[in-house]
Amino acid sequence: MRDKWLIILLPSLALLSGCWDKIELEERGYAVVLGLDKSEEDHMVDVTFQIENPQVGSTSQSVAQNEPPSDILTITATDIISAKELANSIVSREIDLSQLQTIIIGEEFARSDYFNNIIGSSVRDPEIRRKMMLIVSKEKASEFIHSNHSKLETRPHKYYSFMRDRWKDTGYVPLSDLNRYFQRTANALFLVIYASTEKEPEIRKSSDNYKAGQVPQEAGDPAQMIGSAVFQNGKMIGTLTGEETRYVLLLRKKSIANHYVDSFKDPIDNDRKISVRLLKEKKTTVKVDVEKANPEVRVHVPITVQVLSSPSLHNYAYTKERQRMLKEEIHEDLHAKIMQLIKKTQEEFGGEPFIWFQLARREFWTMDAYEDYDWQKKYRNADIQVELDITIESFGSQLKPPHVGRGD
Amino acid sequence: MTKEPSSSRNQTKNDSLFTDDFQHNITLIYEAFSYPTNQSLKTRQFSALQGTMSGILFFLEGTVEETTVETHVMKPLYELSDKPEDGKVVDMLANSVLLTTAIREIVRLQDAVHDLLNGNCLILLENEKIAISANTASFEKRVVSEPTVENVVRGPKEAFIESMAVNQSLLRRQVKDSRLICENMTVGDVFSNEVSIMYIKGIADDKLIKEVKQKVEGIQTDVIQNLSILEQFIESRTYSLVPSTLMTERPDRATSFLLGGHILLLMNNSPYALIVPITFWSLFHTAEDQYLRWANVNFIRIISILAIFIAIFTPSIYLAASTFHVEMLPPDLLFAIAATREIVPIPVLWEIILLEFTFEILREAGIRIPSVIGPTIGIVGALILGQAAVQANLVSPIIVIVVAITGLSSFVIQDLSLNFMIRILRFLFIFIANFMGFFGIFLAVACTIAYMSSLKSFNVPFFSPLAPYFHSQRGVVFRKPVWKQALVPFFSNSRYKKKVSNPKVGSRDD
Amino acid sequence: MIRVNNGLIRKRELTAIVIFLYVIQLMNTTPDTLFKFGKNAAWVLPIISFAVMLIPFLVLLYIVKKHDAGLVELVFSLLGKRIGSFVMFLFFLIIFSALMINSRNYTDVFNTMFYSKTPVPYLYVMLIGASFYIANRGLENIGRTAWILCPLYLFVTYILIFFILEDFSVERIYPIAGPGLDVLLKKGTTYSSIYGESILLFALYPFVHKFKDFRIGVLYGWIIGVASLAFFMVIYVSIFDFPAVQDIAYPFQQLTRMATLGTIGHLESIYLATWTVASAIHFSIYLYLAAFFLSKMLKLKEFEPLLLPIAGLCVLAGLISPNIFVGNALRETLIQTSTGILVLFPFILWGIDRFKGGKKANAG
Repeated sequence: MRDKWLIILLPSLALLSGCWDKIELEERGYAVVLGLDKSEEDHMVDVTFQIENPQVGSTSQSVAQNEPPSDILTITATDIISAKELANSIVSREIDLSQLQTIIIGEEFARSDYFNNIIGSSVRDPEIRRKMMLIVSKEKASEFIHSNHSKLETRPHKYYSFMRDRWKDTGYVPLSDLNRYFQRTANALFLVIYASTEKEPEIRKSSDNYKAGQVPQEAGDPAQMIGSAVFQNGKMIGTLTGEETRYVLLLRKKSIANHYVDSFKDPIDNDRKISVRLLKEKKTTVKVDVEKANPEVRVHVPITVQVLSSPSLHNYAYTKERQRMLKEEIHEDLHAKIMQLIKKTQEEFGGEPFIWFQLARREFWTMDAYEDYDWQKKYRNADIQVELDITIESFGSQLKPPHVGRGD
Repeated sequence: MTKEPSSSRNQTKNDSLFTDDFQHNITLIYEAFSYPTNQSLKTRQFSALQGTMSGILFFLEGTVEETTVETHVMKPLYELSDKPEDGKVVDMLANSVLLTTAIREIVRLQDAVHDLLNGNCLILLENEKIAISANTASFEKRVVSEPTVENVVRGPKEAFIESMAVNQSLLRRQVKDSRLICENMTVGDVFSNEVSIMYIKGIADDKLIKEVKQKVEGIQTDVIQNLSILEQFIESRTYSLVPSTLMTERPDRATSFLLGGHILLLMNNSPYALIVPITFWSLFHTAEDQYLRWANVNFIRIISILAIFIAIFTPSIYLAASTFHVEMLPPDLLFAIAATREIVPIPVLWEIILLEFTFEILREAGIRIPSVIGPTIGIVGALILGQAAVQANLVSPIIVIVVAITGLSSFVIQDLSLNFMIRILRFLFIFIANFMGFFGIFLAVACTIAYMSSLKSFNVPFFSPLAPYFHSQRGVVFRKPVWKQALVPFFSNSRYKKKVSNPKVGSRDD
Repeated sequence: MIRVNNGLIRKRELTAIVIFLYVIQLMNTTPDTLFKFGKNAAWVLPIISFAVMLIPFLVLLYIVKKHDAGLVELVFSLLGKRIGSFVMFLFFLIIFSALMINSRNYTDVFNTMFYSKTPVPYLYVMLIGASFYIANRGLENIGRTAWILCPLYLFVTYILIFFILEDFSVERIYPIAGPGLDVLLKKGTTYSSIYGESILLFALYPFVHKFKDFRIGVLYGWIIGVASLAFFMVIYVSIFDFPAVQDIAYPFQQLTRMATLGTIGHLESIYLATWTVASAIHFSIYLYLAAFFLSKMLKLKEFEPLLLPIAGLCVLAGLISPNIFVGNALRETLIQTSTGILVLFPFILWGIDRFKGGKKANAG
């Protein structure tokens, strides 16, 4: 008989309660993008939430015609979590960060000392995941979010998730998430995606030597994401262009983006450019020697090249001599730029973004020995040599340039 | 067919012996059957050997094959030419005259009544205090037909029917072995019925046989109509959702259980065999398991396991995910659900309950509805209803999918008891999910598994041979190739022969 | 012929029990504690602790084999009734405080990571309630439940590695010696009572089918536990990198939050599920052991009735500590103090046994 009562009692108990953490999913407002800005007040931060509207663009069953795809609001508070609480006084739904993928940081805020405190304390909240992408925007994050409306993707979360896939392809930007931030911030330079919706176009000869906002563009989506913001010890200290970012990735032992298109000077027709795809099929090998007073770093980068187009219409496919010329040109060009980048990191930033510290660490027996060595400082005077191993693999789908003007 | 009717336990008050007085004997029979009010009792007076021997023949209408009575009982009597010695009339008739398969000499009225009820005809002779009962039984029964519940694609296509004799015949045809034992017992104190307990001697455990017999004997009730009711008397746990016996309508499946050392119970009026003891695996494995090729059957097993989990957990997991753990859902799906949920007036719990109950009602209705109008509703009706409910904003579309897949999966589970268990458990989990989300569901899962693995059916642990583990010759979750299987009682170590027939593979002794 | 259950467990059930006793450590705050001292080489600590604890374990195994009696019987026969009872009380205290602190600890993790608005007492009561239910059905049944669930549990736990492979880089475990070998050895020894239950498991010896089953069961489960903990600590360092990994309160839960399976981003709920099931079984073993020792101390024949009061007491006592950090500090003190007792105890028993045995031999 006692069992019987239990059977009746249990479900009714469960029916009656079930409160606390339970909340219906339509009552939540899903913030998909979070913006962080420096506030006018000290020790305050402007938090911008972009809350997606499920009734726009997700289903044909119930569509709200006159509602925008997302709601954007900015709250000034001491940190992200209290901003979230405050926002609930304005938004009709309980703000939920479970679908948050992207955190956008205004450059001004990133350069302030307070940034590390905010980010560091935010991970206490389990809703902030270590996989969230970080983006530094040249302008204020709230402005960036307000003006970034993609034409192709109505829903912002889709825009960022597609963009993330593109980043892996192009290598113009580093992959930067919170986990990497915490991994590297103590040891090395940390690169964050650099983005902007403000445009100051500059025409450059080299096809990708741009930072965000500089790419010549007419019409299309407002946001440009190219180049990277450089962080050291939890604070932004400078920027790298898209091209430099690529070289950083090239010099890393293991990089997420391992093929991209680049253009070089045509070795025969010097005014023209030749476009190639660079592939890093094997891992870069890096040897770090910490025995000497100034550490020695030997980098070997295997690169495979696929020629994609040569507007000069010279034929590189058939003669060895021309292939050698092309190879040398690519080598010279790349090597010079890479060495310049290394010099920049040593002198300007005083740290390395290549994650060589992991390899330097291998050379030590204990953690204390490594910490005493102070790799970051030693790096500034390190002797670094980069060796590029270039192989031309293919010449595209057409062997020869088209025959023009010779037809009969 | 020889049947030895056991003496009934119920001692009725009209238990009296036949006497030399012919008329008295006749009256006894008449009184026992309330003749002439009861018109079922048929009598036929006869006199043979030029009138020197006369007697009377009784039978109950509808219980005997009348042609057998004519040709095997009456005709030999009338053709009798040799005068028997005095005092040996009954002996002679029984041994050398009557042609039926079983003859019994009866001295007590009670036995006479019993035999008459079971389709024998009774011969009373003048000046004899011994009656003769000849087996001429033939009750109406339908012909052996295809199984209606446990369908298979490949395999025998016959099912048990309501006649115990036919069912035994079906089993005997499959196990042609003298070790197949069939013990008959009577149950029911007022209206008794026969139960036949079948097992293979030397394979079925002796203690187990004894226990089953004790359980059947121990039943104290007025009447047990058929096996389904007997099941409820002998099952281990009345209030538990978990079944402890199994019913099958397939003789081949019953046979494979017999060979595995299980005990079979048969009764008249039940087109089933009741199997004890059982484990979870006997409920889970289907009739077709041994007939399909190795890869195919294991594919089906994977599907069935999935189906069980889907049938139990889908609604509760959806409920937990949408109210407690929204981060689980991929954003595109989440937004699509949120968009449609926004215009639905009721909480997701009630959405699920509403549709689940609708589905269960449709399912019940599908069984109860007269077959003439049956095809008009059914599962299709459920889908149309769901569609309409979605359009009326009563439920969101995803719920229809959740409930439909759940319902569909529950049809994969063939065993009725297991099926019910899963359907009821589902509701339990829905309520728990509503209460505590995943934390609650999986605490309940841990408790459920602990509960089930502690269960026993006739002392056999429910999850054996998985837990407690011992080497299973047939495979538990996945089936082994048939040539690797050794025929072995499911819960013990002994086996028929030591070596596996296929020389390619050595046997693994436990 | 029929295999009727006789209340004894066999090697598989015992292995599964030990797995649920130890493998779950990779999911709780044990890695956190070890990282504090072992830095990036903390994954060596479980192996050292295992090696240290193995010696008293083998000594006890020898005594148990010699006398063919469980820990409790040995203690009473070798140490006498008074001291025996006291030792039982000591064991009870060790197990009960571990139960209380750890269960509170786990509840806090549930609370922080998944159910932030639900009051701790409710979660706590539910968790211990489920454990009580499982424990109440007996050791044999704990064993069966564990055995059914343990393959699934190990599979789901280990498959997590494939979901986080993208962020994995084994170079992060260097420098290989971390804080230095001496520190590792010292701390590994101090913290060897993270495997102290191995000694207390001898109390279950009378419930195990035979000696070989006991030896194999405990050792297999134990080795799987040590290997899993060490392996996952390598994973934690390889994913989070050294200084960062120290600051993470619940590395396993953080890891599950990072796991992705294609487009399905958030898998932590699946791990919440496995973790819930695992902790229910884990604490049911503790409850059972605690009740067992208490009953022996009080010289009661039946100990099942003790389960409910112990479960209730555990919840009440567990709720006293205000938060997880107090709990963690308590846990460390517990580990350090019980290490001494548990490591030395088998040697004491062995000595007494030798002494008594010698006396007997002399007398005879």
